Amino acid sequence: MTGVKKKLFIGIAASVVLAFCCYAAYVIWFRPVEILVVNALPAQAAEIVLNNDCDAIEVTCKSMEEAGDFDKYDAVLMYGRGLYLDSLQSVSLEKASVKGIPVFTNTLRNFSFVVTHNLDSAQNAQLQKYFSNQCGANYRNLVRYIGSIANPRRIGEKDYDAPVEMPSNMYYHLEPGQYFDNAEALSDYLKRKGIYHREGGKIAFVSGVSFPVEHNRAHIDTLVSRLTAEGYNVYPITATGLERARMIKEVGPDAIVYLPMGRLGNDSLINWAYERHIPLFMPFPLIQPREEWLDVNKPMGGGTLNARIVVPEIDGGMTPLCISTQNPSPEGYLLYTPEAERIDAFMEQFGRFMNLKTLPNDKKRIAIGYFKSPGKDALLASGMEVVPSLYNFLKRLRAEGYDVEGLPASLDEFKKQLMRQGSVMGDYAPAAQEKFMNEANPVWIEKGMYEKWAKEVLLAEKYAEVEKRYGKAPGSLLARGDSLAVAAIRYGNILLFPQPRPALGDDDFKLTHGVDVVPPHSYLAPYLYMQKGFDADALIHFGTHGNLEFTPGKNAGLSQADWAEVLVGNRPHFYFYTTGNVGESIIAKRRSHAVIVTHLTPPYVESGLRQKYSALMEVLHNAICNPALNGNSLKKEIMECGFHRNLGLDSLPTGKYTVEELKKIDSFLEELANEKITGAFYVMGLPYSSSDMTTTVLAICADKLAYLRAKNDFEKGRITEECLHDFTFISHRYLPDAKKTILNILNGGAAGEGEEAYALECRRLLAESAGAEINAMVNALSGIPVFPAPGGDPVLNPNVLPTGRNMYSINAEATPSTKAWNDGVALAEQTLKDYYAKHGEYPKKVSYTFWAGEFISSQGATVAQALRMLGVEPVRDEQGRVMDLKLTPSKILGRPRVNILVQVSGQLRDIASSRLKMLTDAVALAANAEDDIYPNYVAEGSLEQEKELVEKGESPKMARELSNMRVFGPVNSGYSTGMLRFTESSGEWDDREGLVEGYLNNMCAMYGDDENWGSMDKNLFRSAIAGTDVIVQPRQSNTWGPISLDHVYEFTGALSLASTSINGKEPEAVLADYRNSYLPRMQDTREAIAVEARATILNSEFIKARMKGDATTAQMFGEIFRNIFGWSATRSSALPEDIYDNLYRQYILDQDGLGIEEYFGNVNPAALQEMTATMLESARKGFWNADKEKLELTASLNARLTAQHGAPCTDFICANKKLQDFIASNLDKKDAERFADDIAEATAARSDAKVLKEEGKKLFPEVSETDVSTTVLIVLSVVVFIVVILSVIRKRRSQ
Amino acid sequence: MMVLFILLSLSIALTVMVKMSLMPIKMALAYAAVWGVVAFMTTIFLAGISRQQLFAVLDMEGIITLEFIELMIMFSYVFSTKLWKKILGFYPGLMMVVPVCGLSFILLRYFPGMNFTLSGIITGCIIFFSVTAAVFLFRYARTDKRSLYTASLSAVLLNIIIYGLL
Repeated sequence: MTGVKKKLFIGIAASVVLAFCCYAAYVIWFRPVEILVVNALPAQAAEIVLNNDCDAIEVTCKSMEEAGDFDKYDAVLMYGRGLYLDSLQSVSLEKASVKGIPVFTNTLRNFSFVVTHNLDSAQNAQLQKYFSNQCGANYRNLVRYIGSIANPRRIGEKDYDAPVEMPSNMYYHLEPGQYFDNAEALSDYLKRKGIYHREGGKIAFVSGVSFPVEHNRAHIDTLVSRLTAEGYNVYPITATGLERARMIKEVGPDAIVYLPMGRLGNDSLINWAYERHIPLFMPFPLIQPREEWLDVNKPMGGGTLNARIVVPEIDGGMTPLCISTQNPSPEGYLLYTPEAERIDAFMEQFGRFMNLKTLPNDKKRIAIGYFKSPGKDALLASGMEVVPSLYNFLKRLRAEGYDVEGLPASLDEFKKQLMRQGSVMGDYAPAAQEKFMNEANPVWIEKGMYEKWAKEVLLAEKYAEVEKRYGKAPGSLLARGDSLAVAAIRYGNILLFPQPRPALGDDDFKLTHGVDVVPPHSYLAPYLYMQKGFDADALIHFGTHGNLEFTPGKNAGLSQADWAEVLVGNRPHFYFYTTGNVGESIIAKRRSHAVIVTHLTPPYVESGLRQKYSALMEVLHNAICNPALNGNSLKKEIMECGFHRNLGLDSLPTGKYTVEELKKIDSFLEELANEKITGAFYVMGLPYSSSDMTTTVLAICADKLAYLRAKNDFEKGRITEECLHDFTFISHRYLPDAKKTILNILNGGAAGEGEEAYALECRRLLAESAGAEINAMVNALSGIPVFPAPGGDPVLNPNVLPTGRNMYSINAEATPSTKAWNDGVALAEQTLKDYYAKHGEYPKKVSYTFWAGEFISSQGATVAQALRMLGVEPVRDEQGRVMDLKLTPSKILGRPRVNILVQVSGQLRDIASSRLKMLTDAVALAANAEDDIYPNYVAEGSLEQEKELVEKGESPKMARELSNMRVFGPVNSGYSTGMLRFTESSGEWDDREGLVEGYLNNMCAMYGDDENWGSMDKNLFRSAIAGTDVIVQPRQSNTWGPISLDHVYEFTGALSLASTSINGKEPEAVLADYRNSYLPRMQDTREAIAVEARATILNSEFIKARMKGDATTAQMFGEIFRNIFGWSATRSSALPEDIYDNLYRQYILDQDGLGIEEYFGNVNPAALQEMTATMLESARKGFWNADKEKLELTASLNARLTAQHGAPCTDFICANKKLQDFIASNLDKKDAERFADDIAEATAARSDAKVLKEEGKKLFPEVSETDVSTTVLIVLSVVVFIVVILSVIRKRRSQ
Repeated sequence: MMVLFILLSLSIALTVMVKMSLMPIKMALAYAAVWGVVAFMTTIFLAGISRQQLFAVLDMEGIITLEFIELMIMFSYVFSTKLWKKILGFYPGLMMVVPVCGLSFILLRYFPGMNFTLSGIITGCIIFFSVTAAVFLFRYARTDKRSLYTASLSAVLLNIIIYGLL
């Protein structure tokens, strides 16, 4: 090596060493410290990053799932709440600890996961202090402190201050760093700052527990500023538990504003607030970004829904408005962003509610909306006689000093006014519209005024949607020239108006329960008038239920883009709702910020069937006990009553029934005798009559007492467990005595303890309810909050009494509850057992219907049934919440895993979206089960579903993704199957395939995961229905049954029809009956319909009880007739064969001399017109095989009523030309002409038949190309290939 | 449409196989392996697209046009000499991707529930062994340029008929 080269080498080597030394020096003394923060809430992450003012420290925040490579950081800080690290992450963490990297886990609230490494106890304690005392200074010093531990040798900024001790329970205000120990100190501060309002009300402002105290709290500061600017003294509090309660009480507020995270406090605090008439307002911040909040296809669900809305409802919180979202800052961290428009909305709602406290009653302007179908139908409300109830309420308002000038002196006159002026028009009756506009004195709104209001209230793009669909104002319905007519009646400062139809024309089919269709001008007009023309101080919806809350939009936390929210218009909104329908009331609460005021169900009355069949029951009992008495005469007697048809027994005139069959009949008779039926609809303000009170108390208490006594006997070994679970045994042995005991107590006899004493309490609560309901509403109109309460059928849950309270739901995350799980397992196994006994094999697929009411009342028992079918069970945390799922081992299950399909109502989808996703997870779990020693029908179903989707043209990947989808429902933001209107528009479909297509189109939205939430796919739904063996429909209330509630045929009937069409065989249909909480059971739909028909619509005692009612009660008969028609259209086998003949005898011939025609003629002729028309339409469709005489008599009754009272103008008759012709064809010429003239007075030529359109987005279009069998193609290919080979070989040979 | 597609695929496969049988065996095997890999990748790709999307990609008129071009290359090979013959001798027939896609598509439909990667491997193996077998078969049958000429001519005829039917 030469000298030069040597020097060069030395120089290079020195440079390398120098560079290395420089780098080492940089790493040791100058390199920034990198800190990883794991599992922080977005707000916490933002706080830490934004407060870090040290250039030498770099903070990286990662979610639990993203975290990894811990050894590449200098320090790791983890939030312990809900933290779970997988094995790879744990290994990485371990590696980091070996390298000496400090790792700290914040275990603020004693969570189970605690990992700390390379930190001594003093350092741990100090870090914990920084975390526990959340404020800007502590976050700033936290990172400096951990930085100094991670790299103590670093040169530069490494100073840190000791943790600032923050009071854990404190008052604060806008200025950072200003904290107060007591309310007085804060008052003094406000005075010093000059923002104390001497006359102003006090507001306790309680923020959630995990909110940032400083900096990232723009939403809190905005609200506090706005409330202060409105003249209130705001006392922001951050505290938990008893201390929070103490501080609220110390403030002594006029209102509480709580940004909810769970309940405000315990019952004691809530009671304290209600006793002092302190309203609770609960607007909430969301941690989702704005786009996600506004996206209809991303509903609020899971923990967010639970913490922000469901649990606060238990406290009776009002105004569930989303006041802020979290959006990324320029640096990429999520910060709370106040939603200015929603804060405005909250402020207006808050102000208007508080204003009710001070505004004199005679100045208050109250708008009352009610529901009515078009034409001469009565005003409708579930279980409530609307007109007298409304009249009582208005009289009460007058007594309270409200200006109700012009209220008629008599109920009759009031009713006439309502029917004349408060009518709803269908677009099929232009003549009736014309008459209404000429004679009914409607409110006229000029186009210019209407458009001005619309622009003030609605978003421009939403109004553009209306114009696009219905044209420019004033539209086609109730319009004349440039003006729009609004049906309304004004009594002084009270405005009554009917809810118009929320859709028109082709959208007719989808009215009441909402679809994704914008409402027409005629729907918007009354609400705009209520807000802008009438300027209501409060809005009331009168009775269960209207249609506003079912207009399109989000499930909760609505925005200005949601019709329901914007049409209520920031008015305090109150809603009279039957306590029996908690499921749908929740939709009204969340989607129209309604405060619910519950009212009683109709009274429960005696069916009288025990007396009717007492002789037969005695003979039957004797025959069961002594088979020698079982002979042909008994069989004949049974057959005369038609029970053999209801139970599917033989009808041979010879021989006798077996003892087993007799037991079945006995059980059926017991059920008939014990069937709980409701009488005339309830009139608010009037207590039940004495006899109604007694029968209702019996309905509520007798079963319970009987079962308790049976349970006592079982515990003492007097009866077996089998007897304890035998409905017939309990009914025979315990129920009569229990009823006697209760009757004795009600008649003044001595009461024991427990259930016996409860009978008296129950009577007191029922009596109290009648007054409490109107009182609660009157109080609410004076700014007094309505006390919260559970809801449901009083027989199942007597805690709903007294009524007059604000219903709440349940925590969906905790479902299925333990009891629900046990019930669900029992019912699922019973379903399988029954099917196996009948068919000798297990069903491959069971389809369920999920409804909100059933879900709430049973706490998720049907979800449990579905899980059990799959062989999957819930895994719970310490608090009982269902956190995960696990497979029930095949060996323990002891049977195949059974496939499922779930159709959900829109209401259930909205309140329990997390459970639907959980079900989809369960399907995936079951489909992938590998331990099965029995067949896995779930896996087979998924495979079949995947195959079918691929065959229909879907990509294999997507087909696989969708192969586990089993949950379907109406279009997202819609609530209905659309089948009611479609089925009842029977003039427009000729065969059932049209109904099937309509059902598939309307119900094919999938609700299984976030990615595809609400996407519609008819092919998928069709393949999910394929192979259904059993359909299960829940029943959890005594207030309705399969023929008295239209939704049963709408869901179960329609699914059965679709399934029959797809599979070529009709599935079995059963009801999961939860009405007896001690003994839930499965019942065949046919049997249930037979029981209900015999106990109600064909039972003269029931008819007599109902005939005590007024127009709404009478309307119910028409509804039942239409529901029977609906069953005929969808699943006729569920109906007794002779049902129409029996209806004919009961209502047309009036065989029991009840005065049917007279009653309906007096109270509601349109109802009888509809009933007769339904029967005739049934005959026209071939559902009723009636002879000429029956048809003529029925038609003549219909024509006579039409001649006397005019055309009813209802959809069913006036929109069905074929029916009109059919009626006329069964009349003599003169009557037929007269009938045609009467109808023509109301109707004009109908437009062409309607066809259900598919709504919503589709994942992919259908492939219309004809598919040639692939097998044929393969065969063809093989043939060609063989030909080639042969020719090659031949050539070879020739060579 | 599906029948026409399969006929077209078969004619393409036949021409390509004949062409490959004229290559040195090692090269033919290498190409068979390449087609196997292509089949694997195609399967993975096809798993993510719907039938309608596939038809949009593989529209018949486009395939026929490209096939015509390829057949012209085949004819060129048949009638070329020296350098061109050598260069064109390396060309295996890229339109083979059409029958590969077709087979992947059919196999994906026939094995629902199967892991897509596994499905791709199976398809790749089938293609590899089928092509290899066909090459050996044709070599055994001592195909020559004339065979390729006949196969290409038949393919042209078939293309014209199919185009006419469309």
